[in-house]
Amino acid sequence: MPQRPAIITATAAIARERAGRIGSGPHPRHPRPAVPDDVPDVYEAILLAPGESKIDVEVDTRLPSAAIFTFHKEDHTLGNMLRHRLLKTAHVIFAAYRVPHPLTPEFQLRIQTDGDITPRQAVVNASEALIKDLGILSREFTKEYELRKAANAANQQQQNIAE
Amino acid sequence: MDYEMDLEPTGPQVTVREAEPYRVDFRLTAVDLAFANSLRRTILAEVPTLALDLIEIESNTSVLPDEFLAHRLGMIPLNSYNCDQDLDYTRDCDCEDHCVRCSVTLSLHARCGSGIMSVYARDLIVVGERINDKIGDPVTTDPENKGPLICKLRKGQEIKMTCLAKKGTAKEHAKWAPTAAVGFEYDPNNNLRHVDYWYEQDAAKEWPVSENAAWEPAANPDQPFDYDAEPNCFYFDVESIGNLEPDMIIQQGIVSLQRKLATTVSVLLGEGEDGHAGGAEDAEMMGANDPDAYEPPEGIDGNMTAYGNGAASAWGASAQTPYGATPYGQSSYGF
Repeated sequence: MPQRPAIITATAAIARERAGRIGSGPHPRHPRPAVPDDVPDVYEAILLAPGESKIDVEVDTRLPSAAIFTFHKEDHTLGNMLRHRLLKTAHVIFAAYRVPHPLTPEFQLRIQTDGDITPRQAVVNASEALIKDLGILSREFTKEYELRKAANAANQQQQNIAE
Repeated sequence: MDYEMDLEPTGPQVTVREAEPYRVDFRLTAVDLAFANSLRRTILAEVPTLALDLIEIESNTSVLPDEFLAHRLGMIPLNSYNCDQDLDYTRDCDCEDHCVRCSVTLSLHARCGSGIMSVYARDLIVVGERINDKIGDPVTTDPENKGPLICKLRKGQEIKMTCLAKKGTAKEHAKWAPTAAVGFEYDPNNNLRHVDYWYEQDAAKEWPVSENAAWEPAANPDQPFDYDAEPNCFYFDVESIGNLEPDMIIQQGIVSLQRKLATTVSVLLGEGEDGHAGGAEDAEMMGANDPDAYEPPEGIDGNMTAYGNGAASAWGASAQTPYGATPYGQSSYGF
């Protein structure tokens, strides 16, 4: 018995709320789905769709030795790093990247070379140089970090002895 | 690829200034801004960690709704020791739903007998097997080892749930972030004038310099401004939230960048097999380069030479490729 009035009150409350809403604002014609279907899946921004290639290469026919690389599911992290290194790479006369729209997880990298190497090879060279630099960074960091930790431990010990 | 050696004979240099259990402060030099910023971005967004992702609620008579509790549980930092190597993403795993290679199961069961009971992260208990003996433990950094508060229960209230922790990155959801913050600064004296300070009377007096300014000299005001100067010294302050050691966060960030670049290389060199754009140019490299042969070099220097030879021979012929033999003519561009 005590449950029944509660249900009636809830129904009444909903009815009252609906009635109030008709007067104050537009009433939704259809109830909202529990999960809004226009929200894109998070994976769409991270994982390649089935059949989607990581990099699309489009040869720029307006200029010699120029190409536009479209990287899918990548952002400024890779784009800016590659662009900056390409500008320092030999035989590259133009390198720039752009993200066409902030909601699309892709960037375009446009490269023109002097003809001695292809734009594709320029990207490969730049990537390899970066991989190598990152390897050096990794080793340098490990070395310095261990040194700092050892120094900290030595300091600690000295303090303990002093006390 | 020898010209790269001439550009940067030594490569990136690191000075670790402070190393604490949950924090590392270092100076990165001899790199460019884009490189340093990419490292920062990848540490923030793409270092894999472990976080609770699926909560099965058996009983919840607390005042908090199920979704509320599930969201709170997701935020709790879990030990992600060796997460990148040991654990697979559940979406990539061969198992039916989840297994020990792609997840860690934790259980939470608390019932209040009297008064008010606080449920803390330490009450999450790993059940069943796990891939290594540290992964999945809730991180507790407070003196009493309680960890974050999940909820409070009144007399007779109970929560009982099974939680599934999965591997993920902060790109998907911020709960997988390994860092609370990454401090990043360059050019503390504003020698390069990348910052245009707002001021009332005197910018130098109103804007105190950061402590990093002690690490590099301020520009002489009498000297003319160098328009070609580029930043090459960066101050990082990486603060871990406890699921990964601070040095592991940096190393994982580096690995994640290397993987991106290695994918780029292997896709660009391997594309000929699929017959994508390029045509005859790609035919040149078929046979010379196996797309599967490329691995992100661990030792870096040693692997590069062997790889470089193969690429050089294959690409030496590329002068006659469509890129070179355009209507514009190869000769006019032969520098």
